[in-house]
Amino acid sequence: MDGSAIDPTVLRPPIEDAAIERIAPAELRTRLQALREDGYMMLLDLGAVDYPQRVPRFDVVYHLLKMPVAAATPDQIGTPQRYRLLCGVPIENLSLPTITDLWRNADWAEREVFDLFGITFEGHPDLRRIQMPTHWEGHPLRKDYPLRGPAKERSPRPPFANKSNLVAGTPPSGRTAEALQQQVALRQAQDRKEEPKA
Amino acid sequence: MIVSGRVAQKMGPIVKRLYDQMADPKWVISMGACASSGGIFDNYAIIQGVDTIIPVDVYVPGCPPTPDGLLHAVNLIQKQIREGGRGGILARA
Repeated sequence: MDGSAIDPTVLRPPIEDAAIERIAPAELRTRLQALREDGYMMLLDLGAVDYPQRVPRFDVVYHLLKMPVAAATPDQIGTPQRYRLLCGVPIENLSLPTITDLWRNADWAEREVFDLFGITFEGHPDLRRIQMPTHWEGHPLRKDYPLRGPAKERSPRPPFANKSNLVAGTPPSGRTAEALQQQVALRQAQDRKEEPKA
Repeated sequence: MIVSGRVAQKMGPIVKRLYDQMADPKWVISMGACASSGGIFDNYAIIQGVDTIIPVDVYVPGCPPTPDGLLHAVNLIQKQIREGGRGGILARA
């Protein structure tokens, strides 16, 4: 589209039990290290989101958890605190520093982000695909990756196969991002027209 | 061999290897919609039917397949074993 798409992260409802912070890739490691020393000893999750009409295109999300100190009696148990860190990754520099030395469970999570989005992590001990086959081309969870996979001619089928020889790529359907934006705009226009009546 | 459930692209070569390791004579049941045709998963990650990599003798439809559907498939396999071959259900190409 024309780049006037709303950044969905602005419209997201606030979550009471998590502090949400947005950060640049340059300060990422120092901030995560500071949070770890502050007591956020657990990395809950590491993921990425693709916003194709936004700059920077990708958002890598870190979820941290600070667990309460081991309690002596049940009434001393506190509630864990959550922290969400968002890091915008532009498509010109699809690279982030790794945090596997801080949290060991980031290992496979970063492999998954690399496999499905193409974001590399510098310093990762073993950065390779984890869900797709090893020599797969493309990063499937990007928004511009076709759902059925790229259309390609398969190797000659054995005689018992009942399928045709051509793997269908995603057929052209009306369900593109532009069509969706148009539907949203249409629905918003309808809502605005109905408002004075309501 | 009963292939029950969806087969990922990464799992395809492994299923093929298992089929190759089976001793003759061997029969294959493709159990469920996902094994037979990819089922609801019409995407890049799932093999669209296990019969693209191994020959299947009996297909069991359903998501999930009913127990009597699977039993019927086993009965058909037994019929094929008795009659030596596909038992008239599907001709091997």
